[in-house]
Amino acid sequence: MSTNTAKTITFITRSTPYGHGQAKACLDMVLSAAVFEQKINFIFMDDGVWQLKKGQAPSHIDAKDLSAAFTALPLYEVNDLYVNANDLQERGLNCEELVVPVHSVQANTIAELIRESDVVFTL
Amino acid sequence: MSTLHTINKTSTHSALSSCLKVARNGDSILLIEDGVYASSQLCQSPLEGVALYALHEDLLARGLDASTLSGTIKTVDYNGFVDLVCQHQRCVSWS
Amino acid sequence: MKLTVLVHSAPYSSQAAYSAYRFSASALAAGHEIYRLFFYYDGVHNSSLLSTQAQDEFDLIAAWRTLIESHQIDAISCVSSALKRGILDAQEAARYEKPASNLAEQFTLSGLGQLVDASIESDRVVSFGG
Repeated sequence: MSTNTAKTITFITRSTPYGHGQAKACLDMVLSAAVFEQKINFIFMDDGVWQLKKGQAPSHIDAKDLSAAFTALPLYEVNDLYVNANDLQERGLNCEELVVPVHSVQANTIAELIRESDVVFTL
Repeated sequence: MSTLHTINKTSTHSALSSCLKVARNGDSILLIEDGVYASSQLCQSPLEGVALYALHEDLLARGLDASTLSGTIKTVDYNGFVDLVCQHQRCVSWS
Repeated sequence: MKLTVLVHSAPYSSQAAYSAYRFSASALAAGHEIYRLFFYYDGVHNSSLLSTQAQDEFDLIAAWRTLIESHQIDAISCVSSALKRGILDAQEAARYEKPASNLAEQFTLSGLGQLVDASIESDRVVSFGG
């Protein structure tokens, strides 16, 4: 796939990491799109921001550590991670408590990212 | 480069509020499934430049009377849903 | 237009899979092409041959099968989602030494790459789920 024809695919994840399977399903979609060398935006909104919290130890519930996968995203050249600042704040979190560096942005920026996208997936 | 947003949850769910945060001038919002219960709320606080639609079949199924909706929200059937998808550059489903 | 439809909810658990079916049928009737139907996550349950409905209920899976067959649509169930949920074709059943397979013949098991390909090749992608 030539990068000249790359599409911009935006993923918006709004689910908690372990209570439901959507978060993992969304991450798998992101990784697949990355293999195709598309331009990827990965946006965390609503309860999706919990996926980024440091200190997760899901081995206690026999689950794979989702947050560990986020730290590997740069290897797939997925570098554009965004979090809705208000959603972070509402949950008492700040950027220092997150497993990876993300752009903490206002809804306006998310609106612009959607506008620049060819395809948007929400899971 | 406008976006069609679909919402399939009632207004107590974050689907509606999150969609409203990022819908912009030129976009459209289509309420489907349980999203049609949010019709009246959405009519009361319309967003500037955002067209509002509700899926006719889902309104009827739930005993919601399309004729009582204010003029700010239009009803479309599935054919209209398909047309809306084609008329916008992308589709975002909020659930 | 060339459309791709993503379904990520199971039939009957929510209305979403039914909505996806009605949307797809309407799009085809209007002359649009469905480049691919992609069933992901809980959506793979739409491809189970063993799903059995009460006679007085709408048989969504039968409806999908008829639609896919009559329009020769490329219908894919995500292989990793499907295996986890007990939806296997004969090849996967043999590979994992399972006693039966149940993927309806109108569907193919394949990877998420097929969804990404569809995103690149289609004019629009419409998702149903939740």
